[in-house]
Amino acid sequence: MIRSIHDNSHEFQDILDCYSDRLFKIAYLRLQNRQDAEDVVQEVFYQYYRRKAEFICEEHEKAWLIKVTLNACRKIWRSSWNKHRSSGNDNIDIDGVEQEPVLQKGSSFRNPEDRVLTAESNQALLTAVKLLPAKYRDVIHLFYYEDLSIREIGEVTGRKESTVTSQLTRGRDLLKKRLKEEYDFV
Amino acid sequence: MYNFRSAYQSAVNSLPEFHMDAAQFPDESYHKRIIFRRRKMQFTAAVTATVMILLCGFGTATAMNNWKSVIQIKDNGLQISSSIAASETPIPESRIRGGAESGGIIGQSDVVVEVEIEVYETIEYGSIEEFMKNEDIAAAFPDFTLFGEEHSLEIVNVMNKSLYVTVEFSEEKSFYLRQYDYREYTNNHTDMLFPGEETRNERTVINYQGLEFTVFDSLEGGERIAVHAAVSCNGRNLVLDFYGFEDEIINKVLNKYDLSTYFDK
Repeated sequence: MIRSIHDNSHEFQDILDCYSDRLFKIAYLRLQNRQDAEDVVQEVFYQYYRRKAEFICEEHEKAWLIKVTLNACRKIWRSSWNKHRSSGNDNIDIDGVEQEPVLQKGSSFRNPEDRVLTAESNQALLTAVKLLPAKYRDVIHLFYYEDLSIREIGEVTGRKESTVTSQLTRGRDLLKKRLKEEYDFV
Repeated sequence: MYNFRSAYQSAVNSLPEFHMDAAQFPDESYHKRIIFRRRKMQFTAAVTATVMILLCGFGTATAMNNWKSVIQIKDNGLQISSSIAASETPIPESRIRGGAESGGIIGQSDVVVEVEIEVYETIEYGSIEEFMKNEDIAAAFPDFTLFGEEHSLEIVNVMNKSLYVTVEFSEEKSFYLRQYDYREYTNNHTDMLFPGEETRNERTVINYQGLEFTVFDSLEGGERIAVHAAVSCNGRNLVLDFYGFEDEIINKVLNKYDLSTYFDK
């Protein structure tokens, strides 16, 4: 059954609630600039709203949104000399954000020291991912954060499944080196 | 060992959050404001990614006729210098011109350089035609029919005598032109950075007028993301970026690129 979007504003708000932050994180990791990432997400939903796209299922809708987000990021990347602009902004900013526990080994993380350690681990992990070439970063994020399959990643990025597999492997290898083999990538 | 998937998900969840309100979206003017701001940012970024040193003091009409810059491809960018600037000639006075307030500083190890950062107003035109009507700046545009398809967007930004032109054909195909005028200066030095990890495959294309474009690719992860072309012509440096176009089309555009306007004005 084909589902038409925006039949009412409640449905659209539900879509925004479901995807705006996820798309923002894709864009933020890609562009490493909050303002750019917010612009991308707003543009994606503007296109979504204007075009009144139709989707056969939720997965189709999600894939469409991610694909348009990645394309919008690429557009900003190439047109704004982003590499130069972001060169002075190397640290992904996690300051002022409540840190969630990362390490899964049983501590409660309730004391300030644990929270600092958690923040440092988060920063180290995000920095390692950020240092990956963009094409590996996209694949790593879509696989490990969005839980997309190789086939789905191929669809949203426009790459062959074999290319995605190879990029995922290379991305993991680079991360293993940078993170000093501390993580299991299953 | 820690599980990467759960660790990464937690780390990403610790990033800033962003939520939107459906009430914003029917508002066309809201979208236009975003687009307008985006273009301004792009232009500013393009200008700040280009650091120009313009050396004053010896400019004469005679010298201008012979101006030709040396174009060199660097790691992920481009360096254009006048032959005099590249030499060891003492510098009597200099200015660094950056469009944005951030400006830029270039070190000169063996000379004392007086640095002045000038901030210019930027003017945006919605088409090349509108730009031509309103500005008396010689600018050489390519024959857009050679790109093989219609373009949907034309934006010309002008800052002092520099131009930054955006032409979009589709989501994947776009063309950018930057023009820097250094005729008022005896020497110039321009450093530019491009997106991507490196620049490769330097080559030349000579147009039908016998003028030589330095052409190169910018790569990311070994894949070509754009083709750039630079030419120095009678006191102007022209840098072109082609995204999403095949070599055949790019070569055709460059071969037939008419640069005679730079000799007329």
